[in-house]
Amino acid sequence: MNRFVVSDPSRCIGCGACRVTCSEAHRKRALRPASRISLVKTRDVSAAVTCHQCEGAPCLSVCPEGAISQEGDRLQVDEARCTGCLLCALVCPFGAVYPSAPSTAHVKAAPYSRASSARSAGLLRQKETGAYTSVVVCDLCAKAPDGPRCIAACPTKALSLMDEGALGHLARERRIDAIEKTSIAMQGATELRELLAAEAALGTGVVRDREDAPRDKTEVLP
Amino acid sequence: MSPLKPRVPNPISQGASRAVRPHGAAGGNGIGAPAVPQGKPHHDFGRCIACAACAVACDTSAIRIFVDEDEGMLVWTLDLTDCTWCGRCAAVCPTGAMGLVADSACRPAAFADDPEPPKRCLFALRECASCGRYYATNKEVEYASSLLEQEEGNADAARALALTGICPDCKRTHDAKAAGRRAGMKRF
Repeated sequence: MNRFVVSDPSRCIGCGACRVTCSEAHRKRALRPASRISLVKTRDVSAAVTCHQCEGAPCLSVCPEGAISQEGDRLQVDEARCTGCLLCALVCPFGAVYPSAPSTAHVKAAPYSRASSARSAGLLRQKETGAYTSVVVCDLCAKAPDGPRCIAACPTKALSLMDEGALGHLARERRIDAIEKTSIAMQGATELRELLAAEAALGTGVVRDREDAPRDKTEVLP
Repeated sequence: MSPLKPRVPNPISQGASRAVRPHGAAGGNGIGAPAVPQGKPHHDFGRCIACAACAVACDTSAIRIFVDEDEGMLVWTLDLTDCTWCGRCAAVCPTGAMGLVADSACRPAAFADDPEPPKRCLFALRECASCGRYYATNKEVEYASSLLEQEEGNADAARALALTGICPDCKRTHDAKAAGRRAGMKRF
């Protein structure tokens, strides 16, 4: 199974340390100095969006140059082969393939083009500049000695590496959680049933009459 | 636009292992550049998907693209007066729309000799189904979809195929929101 980095939005504070670390870690190892991770900040949620390292990677299957390959438990882009056609960026179901420019790039076609505008999305704007000659995807910092740098850099521990063991652990935790919730609900139902049975035996009907029984006050009125 | 998956080995792919492609001002015919067949380029509008790989590869900006947001069009232009016949546009083209004129190989690379009017092609842009912004050309989206359709029995490709109508920005936002729901976050 492919491993991948997951982010926990309940911990993410949207500081961007992962993005900075990602591009810096790759620059140090002579790879494109672009972030392989992006940050989404909406009103409700802030989360880092990462490559899911799909098993049947769509980016790999559309690449006309064979520049994207499966290396063990992750994907790898051959930056020298990539021509920057951005078909992979178009088909990625998570938008996790990023166009990148070499650090020496000068913008050729549209010097004052913005990153995106109100009427066209970032991908189209990046194409227009003609400087984005290769794509980058998360390679789990394969060249770094001790695993993905973004995980180490996250100040709130919102990022973690998901492998088969961690996935199984998560599934077990969720099952236990669900069982606990069900048992609490069942316990509540049992208690209510016992209460109703006791009331029926007494003939008082306290629980049922609590809301719609006439008050004493109404009886004293003429 | 060919329906078949193009796995055409090209000279840049072949030579990639020995030389990294030069970028920017370092010319296409410079020392250390991989050997690419050179010649006068010609463009087949029918097969072109306006992916702009040629515009990226072109060092002299003879091929350019512009986005015309008012018309909803992508404008692709080829001006042969700027062309150096380096042949890299043909080498990088994923669909084979850029080719080299057959008899040009034996002729010297004289670019101002035969004046031709600049070629200008228009491609309709696709609006994102989620945010309504332009994100790619219609032909490119259709081409990518046709490639994904060939991946039978691949669940990830099927999911990607279902999402080709959405721009990458929106896909990221949707992924973050899905992660938020998984984490059980409430609206504050």
